[in-house]
Amino acid sequence: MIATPTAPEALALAPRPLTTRVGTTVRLLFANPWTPVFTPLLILGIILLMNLAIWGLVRANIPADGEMAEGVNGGAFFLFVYMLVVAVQSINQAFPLALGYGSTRRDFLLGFGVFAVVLSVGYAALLATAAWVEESTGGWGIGLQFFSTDAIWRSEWLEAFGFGTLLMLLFFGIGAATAAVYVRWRALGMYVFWAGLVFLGIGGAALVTVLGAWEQVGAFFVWAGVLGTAGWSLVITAFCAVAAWVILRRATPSQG
Amino acid sequence: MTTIVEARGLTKRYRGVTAVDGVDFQLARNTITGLLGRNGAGKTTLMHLLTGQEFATNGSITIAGESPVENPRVLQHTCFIKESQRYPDDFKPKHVFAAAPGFFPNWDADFARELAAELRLPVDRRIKKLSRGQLSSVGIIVGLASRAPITIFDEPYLGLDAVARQAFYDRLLADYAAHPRTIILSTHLIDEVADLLEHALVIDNGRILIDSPVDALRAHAATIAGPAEAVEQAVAGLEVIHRERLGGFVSATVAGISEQVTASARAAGLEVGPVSLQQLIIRQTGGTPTEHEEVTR
Repeated sequence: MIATPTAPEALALAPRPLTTRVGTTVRLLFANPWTPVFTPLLILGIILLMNLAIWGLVRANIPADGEMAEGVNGGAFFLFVYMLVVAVQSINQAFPLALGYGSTRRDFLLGFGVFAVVLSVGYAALLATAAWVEESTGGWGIGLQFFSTDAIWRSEWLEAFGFGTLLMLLFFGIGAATAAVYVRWRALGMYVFWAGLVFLGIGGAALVTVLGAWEQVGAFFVWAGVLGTAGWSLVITAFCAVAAWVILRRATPSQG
Repeated sequence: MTTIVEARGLTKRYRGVTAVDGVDFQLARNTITGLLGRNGAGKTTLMHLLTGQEFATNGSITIAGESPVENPRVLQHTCFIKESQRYPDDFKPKHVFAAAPGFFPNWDADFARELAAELRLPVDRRIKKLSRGQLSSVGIIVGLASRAPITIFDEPYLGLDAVARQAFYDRLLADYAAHPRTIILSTHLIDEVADLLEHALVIDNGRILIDSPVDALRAHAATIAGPAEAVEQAVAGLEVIHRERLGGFVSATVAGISEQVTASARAAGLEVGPVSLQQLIIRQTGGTPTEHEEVTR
């Protein structure tokens, strides 16, 4: 708190440093830490415990020397969809508030970017570490595959971490771009956006079929590998980020 | 007088609708200006233009000589509280107050706490579950505690009861005296805020109708009432903005009145009374009182 006994004589036009302004957005987005951090961790913890309990029960009812498949489960990956929703809500709801409080669109989006990167890195580290622990303990001692569902999660920690970060960023990017369309053009924008996306999807598939190029498409994924494909997703993520910026730069509160 | 806000030929058109139509005005630094007008007159658009949230079609609006659009140099000094402000669904008032200091370097957390207590705002309840009045309280608290050099309130009192509204006006005036700043207050409740306002900017159909110090407005208008003939004689040659007849009696609202006229009207046995700011503005914007007196819901 800064006490100002009297108002300054004129407006101090020197802007506060960019880091302060961007930090303000980050602070706004983390103002209620439950939504981006505690709630998803709590849900993750509960799902994990339930899985351990259920899988433990299953194990207990099988003779020690009996044949036993590993329990494969993808329960941890709701986190990605959850973060997509967090991205949508942040843009849709925090953006107009920040503008009213004197933020620029640019400072808000940069702050959102920091927010997305911090969460992506944090959750990817958590998932990679959990997968590593799971591997090292033989599936928490009972052969449960909760985190290490795919080969990429069972590989080196750094690879799993990189993959998780890229995938998380992709979800943030898609969420941000979609929400930006809504903020700028409201319902009409959504209709056009989804129709366009479906059109592109079907059109793309049709094109590949006509060209008889499915083999090449498959070959690309094989060639790129899981991590490579995730790396290529950066192109989509970057496109989404640029799209969000271009769209929100001219967004106004009364549009739509 | 130091000009802090200046509009020149400011125009905002939406598909076929001209919300703000070639407006020129200046606002003095550290004054309280009432932005008054009917619904749809262009008040909110004007405030959005002032805070760089809307883009002008033509003309310009500046804060301290600079365009506010994407300009952190001036936007960092603004706080815009709107009636329709949305907050993130998961927010409680305490989260808003926790994030506010980042936006407002002059933020006074103690003051915010005090105001929350006075307005009986449950700071630990989800904003989605707050009543309309409590939601307004959140905005009022941020607007006051921000101590932003340019603070803009757009109909900030919806759903607030008379006691809470009075508390807002009292706090606003006291805090303004202690920490002078430029305040723009857009409102329908003209009479309630009349004593607060130093300057009135009346907008109708996107154009400025009145741009005047409130004292001057009041000083130059009066109602003269009495027998029809005597009243008509007294107001001959003056600008009569409203006339009411009841049998042989007439009550005329006159703009641009001089002391001489007042004195001679009194001498003729006529009743000369003040005009409330609200009445004056209603007369000038050609509306009917009921439309303007539509108050809080």
